[in-house]
Amino acid sequence: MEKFDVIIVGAGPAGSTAGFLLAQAGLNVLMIERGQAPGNKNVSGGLIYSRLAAQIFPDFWNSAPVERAITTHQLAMLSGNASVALDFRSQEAAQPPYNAFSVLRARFDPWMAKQAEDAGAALITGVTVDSLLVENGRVTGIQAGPDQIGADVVVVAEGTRSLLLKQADLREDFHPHDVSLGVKEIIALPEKTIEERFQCTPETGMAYTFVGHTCGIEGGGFLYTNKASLSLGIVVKIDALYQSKMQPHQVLDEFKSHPLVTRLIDGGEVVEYSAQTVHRGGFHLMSKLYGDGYVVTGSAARLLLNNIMTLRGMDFAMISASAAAQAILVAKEQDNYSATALAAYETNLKQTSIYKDWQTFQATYPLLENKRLFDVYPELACKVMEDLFSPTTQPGSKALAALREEMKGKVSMMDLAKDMYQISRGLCYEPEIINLGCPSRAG
Amino acid sequence: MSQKLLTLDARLGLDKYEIDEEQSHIQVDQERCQGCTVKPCLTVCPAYVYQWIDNHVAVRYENCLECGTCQISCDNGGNKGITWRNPQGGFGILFRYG
Repeated sequence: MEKFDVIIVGAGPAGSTAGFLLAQAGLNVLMIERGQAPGNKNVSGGLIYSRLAAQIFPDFWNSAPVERAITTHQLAMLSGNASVALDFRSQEAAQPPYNAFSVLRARFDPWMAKQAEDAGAALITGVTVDSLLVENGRVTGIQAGPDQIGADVVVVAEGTRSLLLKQADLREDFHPHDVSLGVKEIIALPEKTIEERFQCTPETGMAYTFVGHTCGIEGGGFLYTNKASLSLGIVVKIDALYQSKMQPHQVLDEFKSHPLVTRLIDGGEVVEYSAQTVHRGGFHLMSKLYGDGYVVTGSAARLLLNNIMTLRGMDFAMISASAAAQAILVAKEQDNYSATALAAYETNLKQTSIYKDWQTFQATYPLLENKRLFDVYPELACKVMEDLFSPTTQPGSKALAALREEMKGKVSMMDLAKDMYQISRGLCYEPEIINLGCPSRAG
Repeated sequence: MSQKLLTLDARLGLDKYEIDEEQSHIQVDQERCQGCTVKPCLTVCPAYVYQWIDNHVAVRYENCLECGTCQISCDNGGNKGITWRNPQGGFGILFRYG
């Protein structure tokens, strides 16, 4: 049986990062990708946050096919026909090290895989790994069709479905409660139109996060500007989706029918329709990261950070692969690829800023399950704004009175107080403070 | 200038696929499906791959976007009737943008 030091399953951000770092260190690395080319099977929103990604690939923006540097972030709450938004603009994000870039995975992922290849990793594409080879509880390689290939370590970087681990009974079941479905359209628009409509330059762009108008299903919408297209989509919780009896494209169409969204995509032409599952993330849901002869990186291990403002999968995947690669290099030195040796991967990961962010934002997760946040509050916020901005022939009222009036029959003062506490706990306070005598459960 | 609403099939028609004519990557256990009261697959699939026709689940596997939603909702919500594997290497959806 042919044998490599390391086999990496999947040439996405995690796989290519591991391939790049391990090949650079002189290991004999084989990357196996089931798409005809890297990126063929991959879908993201997609924003990649640049600071951590640049730790792996310094100044990647100079050579990687990024779309636009995101300099404007807007968080908008949508009601039936109105919206309230928070708009953040910064020119800091228009220059190195930037903050985030919009990317299209079919263009971006091949670039990353190329970095790994240039470093010396072997890449084969169009080959599906059918199973992991397991001997006495130890992963010893992979099976792809009739071929068996051995390795000291297998890096599982196969993305959200994580089928190999499921088959080998090496992971827990994923529950529809903990996974969302993202449905997305690429909408072609001329560059000039994008720059005028979104008030950006040829190099910069805008990212919208939307809450509300997703048929009452927990989740939200997004819109990112690419060079000559928009990435528009929704992300909705799977259990709530089937309970709603709505089909995903119907929820997407409902979302697209909002006047604000309609105006933003006006004149555009849909050129691709895609879908992807997104793990809710949160470190209490992190899969087992390693075992005898294998490590699990990126989305396959449910490594995802969602704090409503940012949804981070790609940079998390890269950082996890880097933490795994460091552990593999030490394992190689000691010629010991047991679970005990590879446990260093988890230790390394826990030292990273993104893992610490997970802890910082653990109180955010209950927010993602609070249904009122996705239907009642966007509606309320818009109504109150309408009251404040629209003098009528009737005497007006101040904000709080208007809020009380609009809340009648929809949400109690008690619920509102609890939710406000949950929101501030999730997004504003430091964890040290919130741990003191907090009545509601932690994430 | 406003966008015309695309049907789901029109949307799927925009996507590029390399269809495996010989075998489906999705297997369903019809007995299990008949005993399933929720049938989440009929709702959750963004490509409407699963349809209830003549008392059985018809599978339009060639339209699959490979998101994995069906398996997750069938395993915990349905009746574990779906076995979803990756298509053979090179086959299935080919995202041009992603």
